Amino acid sequence: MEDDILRQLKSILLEEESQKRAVLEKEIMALKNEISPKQISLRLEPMVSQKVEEIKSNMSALSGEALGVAIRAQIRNNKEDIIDALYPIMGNLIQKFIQAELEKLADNINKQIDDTLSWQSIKREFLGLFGIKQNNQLMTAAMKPQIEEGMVIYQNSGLLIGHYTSKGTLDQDMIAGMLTAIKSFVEDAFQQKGGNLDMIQYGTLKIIIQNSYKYYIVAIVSGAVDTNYKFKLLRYLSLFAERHLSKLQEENLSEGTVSALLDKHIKEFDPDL
Amino acid sequence: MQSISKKVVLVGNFGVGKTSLTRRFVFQKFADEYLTTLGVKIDKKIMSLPDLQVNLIIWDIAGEVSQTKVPKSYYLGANGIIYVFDLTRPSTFKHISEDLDYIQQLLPNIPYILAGNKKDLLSEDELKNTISGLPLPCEYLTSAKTGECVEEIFQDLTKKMTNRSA
Repeated sequence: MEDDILRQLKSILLEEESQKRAVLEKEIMALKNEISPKQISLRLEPMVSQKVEEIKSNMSALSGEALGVAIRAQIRNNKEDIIDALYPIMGNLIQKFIQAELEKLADNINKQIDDTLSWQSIKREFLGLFGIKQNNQLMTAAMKPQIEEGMVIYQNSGLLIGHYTSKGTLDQDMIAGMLTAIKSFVEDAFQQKGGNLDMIQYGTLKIIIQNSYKYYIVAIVSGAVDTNYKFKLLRYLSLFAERHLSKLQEENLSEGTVSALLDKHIKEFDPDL
Repeated sequence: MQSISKKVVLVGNFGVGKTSLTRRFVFQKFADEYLTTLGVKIDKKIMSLPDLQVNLIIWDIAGEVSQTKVPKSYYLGANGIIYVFDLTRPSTFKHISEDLDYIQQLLPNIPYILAGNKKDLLSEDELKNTISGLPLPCEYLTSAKTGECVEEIFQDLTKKMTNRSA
């Protein structure tokens, strides 16, 4: 009985709130329906399509020459930014190369300085007395020419008959063939009377060629090769040819024998090898 | 085992498949571009005979319509010749006799081999017709594509160059 009275009293007092709550619930349901993925996609699609069309038409306005001009202007106006962007790639490569070269040079110089009690050191001191700076002497010694490969090749066929190598990385048979083809090509192309190809320069390497009898001798030299060194080496190779190659056919020397003779002579020419 | 080197020159018209034959036979180190710049490319292959190891230094010469246009110096000192022609193009075997005469003047008494290449492109009947129309008998019909007879031409030439019976 008391419960019924209380329920009636509650409904009279909260009638207005109950109506408001019912309205709110209706509104929430409507909103929920409106923000469902299906409804959002229906509303957004036309807007996105319109934006894409706008971007497309702007891009075509910038295409071709206009785009090129825009890029050029960007580069011109933002040099610093572009250098900043490229430096990590280019800079590292250049830095690595210079570093490797300097390390090689430093190693050579250190090796010579460490050798303080050697004959070379005494020689440097002695030359120093005549005004030749030790630095210059060390630099010259560090860049000293070194024979990396030596080959005795038939002039006509390009076949290898003897070789010397300090590293053994090249296929000397194929190098001999290609060198002969290059030599023939140059000599055929220019046809100078008595002309012979006597040197090819490639990077830090110089390929020095001494023609002799039916053969030619090749020395591949690294380091700083000056005219003096070149002529001294050519004279030495010529001497080798006179001593051994002139008798090659009569003595029927094998490739191994010619290689041993070449090795001996190259080491005689440069005792540091 | 004794080891000797022999120079082999590969000749023939442009596009007959000389470079493809060499590529089938050897492991290449130099790029084919040398053919267009220098007109020649060198390859190497070691052939083993029972008592002898032969280093074949192969000069792959850029194709010309006539062999007289190839620099003479490229032929010098050659120990053997492989003349390649295209079985599908009569223009590449029309002048075989003249070309071989010219080469034999430059290099008398050296062995040579005639190789008709691109066999895979012809049917049996077409092949019979082509062979009957060749100016000289051809020992080897090859295909750089399938590898047919490629090894055999180099083996045979090696034996001829070293005076071993074929």
